[in-house]
Amino acid sequence: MDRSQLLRGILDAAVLAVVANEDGYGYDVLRRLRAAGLSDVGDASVYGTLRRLYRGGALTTYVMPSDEGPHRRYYGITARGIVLLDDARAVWTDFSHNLNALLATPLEVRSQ
Amino acid sequence: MTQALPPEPDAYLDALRRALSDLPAEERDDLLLDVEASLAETESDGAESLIARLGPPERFAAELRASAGIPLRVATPPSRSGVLSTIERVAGLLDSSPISARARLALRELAPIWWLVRAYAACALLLVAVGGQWDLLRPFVPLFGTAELGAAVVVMAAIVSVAAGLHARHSRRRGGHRRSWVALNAVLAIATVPALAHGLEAPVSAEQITLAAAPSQPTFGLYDNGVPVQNIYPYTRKGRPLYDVLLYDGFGNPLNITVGPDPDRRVLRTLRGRRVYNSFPIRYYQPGTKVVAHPAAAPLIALPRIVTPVLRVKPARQPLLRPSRGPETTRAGRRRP
Repeated sequence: MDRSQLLRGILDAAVLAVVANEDGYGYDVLRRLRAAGLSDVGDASVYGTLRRLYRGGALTTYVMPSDEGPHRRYYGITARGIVLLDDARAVWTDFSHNLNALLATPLEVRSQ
Repeated sequence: MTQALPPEPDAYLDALRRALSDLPAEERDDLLLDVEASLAETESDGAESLIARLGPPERFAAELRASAGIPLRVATPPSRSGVLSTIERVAGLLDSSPISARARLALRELAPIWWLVRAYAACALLLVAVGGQWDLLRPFVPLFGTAELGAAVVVMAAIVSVAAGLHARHSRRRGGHRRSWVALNAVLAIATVPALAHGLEAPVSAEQITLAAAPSQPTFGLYDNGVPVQNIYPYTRKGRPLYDVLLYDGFGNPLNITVGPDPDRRVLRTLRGRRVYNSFPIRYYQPGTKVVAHPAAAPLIALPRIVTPVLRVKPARQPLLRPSRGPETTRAGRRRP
């Protein structure tokens, strides 16, 4: 199964979790997602998701000057973002629990 | 340090902007801000080409758009109406047309020439805007008050234009600014054609100017020192006013005064209905009638007392007049002698 496709549905939660951990600018968020093992996450998806979450009020932004290149736009989580993250966490926990159980079922049992 | 493919963040960003050109400039810039910052950061990361790492810009843009939840807009909704937005859109199209990197580079090299040309075009536009004239002896100099001031304005414009060009080269403009800038350049490019065409005209000599002061076009009617003659009142040397006198020049051409169709003017006619416009003084009917209210009307003149002996003319046996077919009679006048 294509991991990136699987990732797409859960990317909101992943991005929210990274930013909730610590404020970060676009490339920084991307790096931390990859460092967390989500190596298949696409640059464009992360930047797009950040913008969408910001527009939805889940993130806030502020600009900090950078030594290398243009100013960086940092993202921080808002109260609304924390609520969304909690929701996503609950959904994911429930979902992954069920899917784990389903996938753990031996193949020959279902095929009979 | 070996670098097989140099990273080209600018080119990549330009391609992204083109792929997102359906979005309002502000939204597009906002969407690309994080990308831009990350490109600046990863530029130093390694020799890996941007396309190899990020994929084709079109796909990157599509993914960015999809994850940001921005639908693809098929037709750009006109955010602003009017000429400027149309020009901006055309400029945007020109801007996003696929020109090869080499051509872009060549254009970049030649840009300074354009900076000078557009400064001149801008001066020409300004001149037209303030309703000014070009210097006649030096047609390339716009007259802002004086030719000297005009030349100064051109020089100033050139300096400003080059400064603006250098500034634009070093700080890339984004989105709306960039598009307005391109639109302004497009307007100046169009203005260049008439401006340069005028500037390269052969200078007019002082002699031509003197001649040009007199009406060079054949104009209808009679002129006295450039002022149209409205009427002529002939008198004999003894001061007797003459009526319905026909005037001709040395070539036998009638000295006509026709200002235009005037139903109230008493125009003499021949038997065949031909109108005679060289009869003086011109008389006018009371509006709507065929009655001349004051047939003897004349300006107040101080008649000169003539002492020169009367010119002796032998009465010609044959009339000097070229006889027309049959005796010509003016409908309103008497029989001609």
